[in-house]
Amino acid sequence: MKKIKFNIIDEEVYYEKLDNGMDVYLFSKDNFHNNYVTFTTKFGSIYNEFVPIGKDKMIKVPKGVAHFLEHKVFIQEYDPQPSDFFAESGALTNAYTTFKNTTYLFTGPDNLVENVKYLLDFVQEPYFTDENVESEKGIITQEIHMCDDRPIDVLYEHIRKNSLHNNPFKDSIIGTVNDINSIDKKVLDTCYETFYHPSNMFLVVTGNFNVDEMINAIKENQNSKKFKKENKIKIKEYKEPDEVVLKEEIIKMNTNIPKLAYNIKIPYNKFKMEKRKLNLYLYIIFSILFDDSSLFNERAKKENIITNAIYTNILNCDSHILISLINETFKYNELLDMIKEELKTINISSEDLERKKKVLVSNEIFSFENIEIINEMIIDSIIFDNNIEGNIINIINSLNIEELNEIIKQIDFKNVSTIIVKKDK
Amino acid sequence: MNYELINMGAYNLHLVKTNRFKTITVEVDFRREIQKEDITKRAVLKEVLLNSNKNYRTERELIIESEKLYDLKLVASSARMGNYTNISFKTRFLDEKYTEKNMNEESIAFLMDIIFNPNIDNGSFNEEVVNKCKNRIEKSIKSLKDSKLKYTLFKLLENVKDKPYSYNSYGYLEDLEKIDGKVLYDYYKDMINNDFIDIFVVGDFDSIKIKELIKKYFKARTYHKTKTNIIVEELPIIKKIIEQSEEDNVNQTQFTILCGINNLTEFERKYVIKVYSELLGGSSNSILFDTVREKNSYAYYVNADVKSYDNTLLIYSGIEPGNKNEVFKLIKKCLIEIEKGNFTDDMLNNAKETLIGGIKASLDSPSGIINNYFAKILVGTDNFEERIDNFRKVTKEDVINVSKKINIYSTYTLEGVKQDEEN
Repeated sequence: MKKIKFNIIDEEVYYEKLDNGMDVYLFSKDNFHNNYVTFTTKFGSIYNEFVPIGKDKMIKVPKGVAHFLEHKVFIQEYDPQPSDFFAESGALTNAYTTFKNTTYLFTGPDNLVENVKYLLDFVQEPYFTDENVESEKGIITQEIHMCDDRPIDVLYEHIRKNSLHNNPFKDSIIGTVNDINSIDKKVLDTCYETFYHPSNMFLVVTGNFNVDEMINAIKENQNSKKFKKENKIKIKEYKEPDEVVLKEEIIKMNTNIPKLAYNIKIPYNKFKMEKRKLNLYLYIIFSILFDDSSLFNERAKKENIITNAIYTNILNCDSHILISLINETFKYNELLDMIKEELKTINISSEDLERKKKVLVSNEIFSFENIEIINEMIIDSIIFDNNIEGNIINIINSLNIEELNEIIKQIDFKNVSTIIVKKDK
Repeated sequence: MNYELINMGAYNLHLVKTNRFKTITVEVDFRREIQKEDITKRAVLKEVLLNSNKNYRTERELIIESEKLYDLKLVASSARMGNYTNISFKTRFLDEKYTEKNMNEESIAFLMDIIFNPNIDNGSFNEEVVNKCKNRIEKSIKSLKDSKLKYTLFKLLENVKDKPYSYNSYGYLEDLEKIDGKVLYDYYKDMINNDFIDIFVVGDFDSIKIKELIKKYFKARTYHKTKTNIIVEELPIIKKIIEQSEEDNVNQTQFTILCGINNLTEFERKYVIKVYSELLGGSSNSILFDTVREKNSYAYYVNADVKSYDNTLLIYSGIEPGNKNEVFKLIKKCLIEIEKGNFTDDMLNNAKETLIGGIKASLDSPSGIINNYFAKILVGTDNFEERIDNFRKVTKEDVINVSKKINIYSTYTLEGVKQDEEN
């Protein structure tokens, strides 16, 4: 096993690639009580067009299929069902689907090795039938309706839809009712065989356990199973223009306080900087400009334009980054004008930069308090950066005002899509 | 982990020493018997104290200071616990081992400064600050309807007059109007002087030093407090269930049920009723979830939640419009099935193990640890090990007995009237 050390934080993660291609990450501490285990496939909602394993032609599958598959993988042919199995030892199980991955997980203090083996088993031995695929459609349709009723969810859906032309991040993770109704067993089989191959998956165990015993149990479990030959999955490429789709939209629905999103679309290829570092700088720039410690925030509150600070959401969509400034306010027009004015000339002091570096360092150390956050941090590192960075504190400490000003110069702050969600009168 | 409870006269100091964390957590709780007209004042007060201070006049200065203290986290919250209302000021900061010398003292001093050194001119909180915070509370009161479930549960409980759980925990617009800097400052002094106070510290510290620091910076010096029973009086058992509903332009119907719980023994309140609630609707392997969602596909979610201080059990679900009567029938059937003992030992065991797993997991978070010791002071909750043993002792007969003490009192339905044709 290899060790990845986190400098200054004084922690480490063990890593090993198994013979079947699966990656395993282990983080163990003897004063932790609970365990958190995730099993992830690099298959999320954005992978709609690809060449299935063992085939040579590109196919297109309905949107929302990754999330649908997540629901179905949870159904086993024979009892106990996963939630019952885990409950026997007081563990809870869950799963979620994002744009780029689907993750199955459990958390619980006891019976860890057996539970890890079971997690691998249930995800690797699914049971799809025409009937059970059909019966899931009602449940997922309910879930779609629930999102459609939530103004904030509607806002987030439109941020991507109005900013992106071809990039598959534009579509919702869950799909539409039409998409869901066109899913059948065959589609699920194809996606499962292609994306749930061990070489496209990784296991992360965080908690309190014996590392050697754990890796041996995992190896024994995986060696006893047969898989198709590993092959590189071909995903359809797309060209995404730098312009937004829709510069402005007002959405009318059942909501009390209007919601505003001001979305800046930034192409990645403009920057000659590692993504992780670029993201740190973007976080720093927008938090200094708009968060609770900013002069902007103080002014906007004093003038009763906002009551809570603007929230900055940074979404990495592979080809582009979407930065969304989000707020709830009746005075959304005034707020829009203020934001535009603020972004005209940006001046950031090195004192503010140094303060925000302290915040970033603190965040990293705080993450190691919580097994769930450690686990998620490992998943995110693999999904977005393809590696785990042990020198993150050093990277934060190396951030400087020259690089920061260079980035500000390169951003086109006028490449924007604005969305307002307000009451339908 | 080592726990020490020290009676400091004006307050209880709870020290929990553990090497589990790289941070130190300090929580200060003020509580008293709940009065409906106090809820809004307390909501505004906690905002005001976190907004302005003699040393850090503006919210911005306050935040900049906390970021300089390596992003010390500071939150204030107000909540109801049975018949009590509680304001809690909580800070969590990096242990100085990871930052600089004296940061522990500076961080504790900062928290106490927030509580004891507010921005007062002439016996009144600064009016500008008070107005800003009132706006914020007004917004949170108005936002209740944005969460369909919260709103429906609120309407369900609001209909039970005179019980503290019928109060709107966000506050009331009509009470908000009456609040100004003077009113609020009088209330603040009243709170500091007359509330019960508990202070919790969790981390890898030197107990003697921490005790000295708290003594040095915590300035409440009062001893007259009125004790009240935390447990809310039971609901009467009624023959006809009170059913109410309203329509809304939503895709999903929210259906909520209030049940009264009568005549619990102490063991039942601490253990059996929690097992019952978990078995009925705690998670995705509960009886409700299995019947209403999985077998009948009527609902996206259905849960049960016991409020043991309130003597109530809430059942809530998000369902397809038009299916309310069917779902209600199924839920009632689930309640009867438990009374008849129609559940397996495995199901019972799973519910117990889930609760035990939750206790163990709570040891990994400072607030989990604090909640446990707080409950010990409030209702004599047992120690971690005893709780685990006692949950294991709960039998099928215990659950059947407790199930007979549960009576449906009322329902509230937010009926969806829009069908989405486009999708």
